[in-house]
Formats: sequence, C-alpha cells, structure tokens
Amino acid sequence: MHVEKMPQTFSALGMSSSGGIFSSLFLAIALVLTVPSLVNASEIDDDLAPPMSLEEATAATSHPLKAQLSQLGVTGSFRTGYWSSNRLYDDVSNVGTASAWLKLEKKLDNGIGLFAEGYSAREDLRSDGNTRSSMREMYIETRQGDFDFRIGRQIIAWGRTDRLNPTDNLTPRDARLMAADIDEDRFGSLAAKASWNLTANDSLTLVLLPEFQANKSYSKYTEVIPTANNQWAIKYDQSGKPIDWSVSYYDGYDISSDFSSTGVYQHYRIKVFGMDIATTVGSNRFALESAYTQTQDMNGTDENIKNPFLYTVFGVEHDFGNNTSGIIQIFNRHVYNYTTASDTGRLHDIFSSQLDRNQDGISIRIAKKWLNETLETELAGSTLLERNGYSLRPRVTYLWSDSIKLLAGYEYYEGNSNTYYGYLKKNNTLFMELRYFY
Amino acid sequence: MITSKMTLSKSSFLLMSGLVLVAGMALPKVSWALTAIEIMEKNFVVGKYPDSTSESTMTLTNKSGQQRVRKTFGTSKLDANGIDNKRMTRFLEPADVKGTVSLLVEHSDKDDDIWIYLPSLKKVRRLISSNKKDSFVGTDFSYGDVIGHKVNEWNHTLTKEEEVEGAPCYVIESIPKDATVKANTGYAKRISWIQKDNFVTVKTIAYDEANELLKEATYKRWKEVEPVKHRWQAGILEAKNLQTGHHTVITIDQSKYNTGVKDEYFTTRYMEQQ
Repeated sequence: MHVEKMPQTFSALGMSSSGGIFSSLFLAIALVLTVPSLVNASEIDDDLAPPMSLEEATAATSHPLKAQLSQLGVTGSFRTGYWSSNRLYDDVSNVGTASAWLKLEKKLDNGIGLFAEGYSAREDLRSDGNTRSSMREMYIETRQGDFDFRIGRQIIAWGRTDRLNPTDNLTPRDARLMAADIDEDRFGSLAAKASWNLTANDSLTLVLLPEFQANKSYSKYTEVIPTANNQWAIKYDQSGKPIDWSVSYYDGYDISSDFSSTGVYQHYRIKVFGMDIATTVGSNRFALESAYTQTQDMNGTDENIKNPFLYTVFGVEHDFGNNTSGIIQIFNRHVYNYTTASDTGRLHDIFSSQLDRNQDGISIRIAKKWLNETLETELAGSTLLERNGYSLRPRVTYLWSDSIKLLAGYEYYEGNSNTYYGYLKKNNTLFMELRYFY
Repeated sequence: MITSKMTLSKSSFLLMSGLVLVAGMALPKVSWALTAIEIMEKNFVVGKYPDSTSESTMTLTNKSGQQRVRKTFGTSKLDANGIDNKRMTRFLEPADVKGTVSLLVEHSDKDDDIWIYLPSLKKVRRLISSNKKDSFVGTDFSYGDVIGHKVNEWNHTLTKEEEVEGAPCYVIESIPKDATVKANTGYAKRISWIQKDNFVTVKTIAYDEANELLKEATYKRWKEVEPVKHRWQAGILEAKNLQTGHHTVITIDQSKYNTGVKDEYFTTRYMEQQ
C-alpha cells in the first residue's frame, strides 16, 4: 500500500527525468552552432520574425558572454530561494532551493523555429534533499501558408478564464515544483499540433498526443500511468474580433487521477466538450468557460471513477486605473448521477471535487503595479462555498534590475478534511526567491 | 458726384474698416481657437503613415540612475479610414520579458482592442483598453501618449508662438472636454509645442488630474517617412516624470516605412509563434 508514486518518464524523447535534458538542450544549441548557414540574418519583410541584426545589435551592447548566448537564442535564469515548507505534503520545513533554467529560442533561415526549455533543481539543499530535472518543452514549429505545425514536447494551454480553466485538459502541471510563478508548474507532453488558419481571426486546431503525461503531485500511493497513444483534441477558435471564443473537444486520458478505494491512482478516459468566450466592455473584461466531461462511469455506479460533470467558470475583471486590476470569478461543478459518497469512496470524491452534487466557489485576484512596473503586488484567493475551505496567496515581485528579480509570497490553505484545501494545509509555505537572468 | 462717390467710398471704407475692427476685436478668440483645432488636426494626421516596421530600444532610468533596457521589434499598419492603427510589439530583451507580444487595434469610434501574449501563460489574453493613463510597459509614456490623444475630446487654445531649439512652434493648450476624458487619460491639461513648418510635436508638458505638473516629453530626430503626404516619425522620444524623477528614452534603432507590412503581424496567430 505504501508505495511511492511511480516516476514519470521522458521516454518519448529518450531522456530520463533526472538527467540528460540539458545535454539534449546543449545538443540543440550545438546543432545551431554547427550549421551556421541556417542562422543567417532574416529580413523583416521576408518573414514574420524580428531581424537577426537586432540580436547582433543587442550583442554589441551586452556582456560578451551574455551577448553570445543572446545570439544563439539562449536565455535562462539561476534561482535560489527559501521555503518554509516544501510541496510534498510532509513535515519538512525550512527548505533552501537552487535551480538553473535554460531556454533556447531560434528561428532558422528556412522558417523553422526551435524551442526548448528545461530546468534542473535542487529542492532541498540539505544532503537528503530532492534533486530533479525536467524538460518542460522541446519542439520545432513551422508555418506553411495557412497552416501552422508544431511537433515535439509542448505545453498546450486552453481556456480564457483566469487560472481556473475547465477546457485545459491536454497537458499537465507538476504541483511539486517549488517555483514562485504559478504557471511554471506546467510541463509539456509529446504532441503534434496542426492549425489551419481559415481567416486572420479563425483557426481550426488538431492535436494528437501519442504520449500521456499526468499531473504530478507527491503521493505515497501507487499511480498507474496509461501507455496508450490514441489521444486527440480539436478546437475551433476565433480571436482578434470584438469577442474571442472557441469550442473544443478532447478525447483521451484524464490528466487528473482517480483515487481508488484500493489505494491506487488510476487515469481513465474522458471526453470533454468545451467552450470559452471573452470580451471587454469599458473598464471590464468578461470571460466564461465551461466544459462537460463524459467519464467511464456515466451512470455514477463506480465509486472509483469520476461521474460525468459540468464545470463552469464565469469571471469579471475590472481595471481600477493606476495600474490596479481585480478579478472575481464564480465557479460551479455539477456532478451528474450523483450519490452520496460511501466511506471508502470519500477520498476519491474529495480529490475529484465530487463530494457534493454542486461544488460552488469564488476566486479573486487583485494586482497592482508600482514604480514603473518594477514592483508588483498581488493577492489571489479562492473558497468553496459548501465546505468552507479556502486558499490565500499574497505575492510581491520586485525587479531590481534587468538581471535580478526578487519574489516573495505566502501560500495558505485552510479547510477541514472534507476539502482538498484541508489536505493542502501541510503545504502552507512562506517563500522567497532570487532570480538572476542571463 | 465724384465727391459723392468718394464720400460713399469713404463711408464704405470706414464702415468696412469698422466691421473689420469689430470683427478683429471679436474674432481673435474664435479665430485662434479654430486655428488651434486645425493645428491639432494637422498634428494628429502628420504621424499617420501607411505602415512601419522598426526596432527600438527603451531605456528606463529611475531617480537614482538605475537603468533598465528593453529592446523591441514592432510593426504598425494604418486602417483604411486613415485614422486607426494596428500596432504589434514583440519584446526581445531582457530575458525576463523576452517573447512577450502585445497587439493593439485602435478604434476611433469605440474602445481599442488589446491582446497580450505572455510566454509564461502560453496563451493570448485580451486586455481591458479603456484606461489610457497607465504606463506603457513601464515607461513614462502612457498608452494615450503612444496612441495619440483624440483631437475632438479636448478643447484647444493657441496660447502663443515661440521657438524650440530654433524652430518656430505653435504652443497649444489642451483641456479635456469632460471628466471621463480627464479620468481616462490622467491629464487635466496638456501643452504642446508644434513645429509650424511641418506640424510635428517637438515637446509636450502634461498636468495630472490634480493639475500638478506631471511630465515633460520631447520628440527629436524627426524623419519625413512619407514625402507625398508629408508624414513624419520621431527617432528619439523622451519623457520625464517630474514627480518621481523617472525618465524614459525610446530610440528607433532601425525602421522601414510604407513597405506593405503583412496583415499576419496583427493576428493572435503571429503572437503565439516564437
């Protein structure tokens, strides 16, 4: 029963999760270096990329090493931080962290773009600390007429509401990562994405995912990762007009696991029919996103599998002026064929947000920028109305210079054992991070 | 008869002279106000060229001299109505903001549309655009300064004429027509020095909503980018916040004009590409 969660692999790229990613990245850089004919300057008018001459101009004004890296399209950061707790649901406290992040962005002469980003992190500087690496993305992309193609490990983020996105089911997050930026916990799956741009504003996107990557969070229980390769998604999107909207469909495995009464995390197939819409009126932005999910337990008879559900988020953002904005969102998860959870199925329903027929909640975010956008303050939070669990996340970011950034904040969760927030209480943490960009 | 004619002519002359004098006494304000509007309208269109691609450097310096430098690649394209522009800006440096892309689509008859692509979010997001007073990407220029203030939303007065660095200029005082314009732009008053020969702005000062002196901006190294219609673009734009001591210099390092910029630049498709 008490088995560590199975490690994810990077088998698709032939890399282990704890090594080799940077050698692959450096291999990509070396490839660029050894094929100089591919990296000649592009003309502004010949393609849609910024001209290389600017990079050269930049290089001339920057530190020599930094300039060289810039010319190669390499950027990144070194980070160190203090966390009063890790994100592993344990009792470890006062954690020192250090990590190196590396990013390669290069547009070749033939219009092919290369992108790769990864990190190697030591998440507890003590001798028994946790060290791991991850290649978040590594893909090539090209455009051929009205078509765009992107192949490789990539993050695909769907949805127009703020941080709560019912349609965002394609690529996962790593909840264990100790990064001060909330979206850095995303990582990619191996995918082939093709977009047909029907007009300047309308596109049809098809995604094939031959590899399944699940959300990652620490658990002492076993997790079974499916090895099937028949996942796909399609989306029709319109953006650039007064109203932005999309409709989408995903058929594949659920990146969120189902916790069975036998103590195993399983991933079952789902079909998700989604939509989103957003527009602005005066000082307000309105966004609505909703998705209906069909599961493998449509009748709601198996307590180890999620019931079908409808997840909807509606939000209003208001611009208060003086670089201050606020967002309030209401969300609802309606569970179909609901039955009250048995004792054995209770944990499943808590982790799956299906303990109640309707789970209603509110999320807020207030942000302000100061001192010519060098200082940013933010307070984010959410609460579940039926179960009284809540989270708060104040955060301060200060850009000391173009190279140095300071981040500090607090993640606070409160709730009883009938809420997911209650389980996250062990992860309450104060954090501070220093980043040096190169 | 001759005398009579002469007398009549003299009377007519005196009458005409009197009318002119009266008109001259009554008209200066009207005449100057109209002239001010005309000047501002000419000033508004003088920067409306068909399209551009440019590479710029923004140098932001705080009161203690600490600098931040941002390099951008941008394109613009004028709408068929000759007023509204589409503007795309891609940040190339520093590493912290590299890959950020903004797209602004102006609408003279309603609020503009703004989208932003943040590499950390991996998606394009529509932004609220009604607020024109906030800083443009941390610089001392506001969004309103960058887009250009709509002439018909302000009352303009030609207060005097004077030289700026040897160039004769009109000095126009502009007051917002209503509280909404004042609140949205953040200015209670703007004073613009507009060069008489080509109607470009060479200097502005602006007062905040409390009517306190807020910022001074200068525009230099003007280049006639469309000689037929006489359209101009400044090569160096400098703004200083007189209340905080922060200042910004935007230098157009390279630029091309009227080359037929592709529409694809102004799509969310382009924004999402690396």
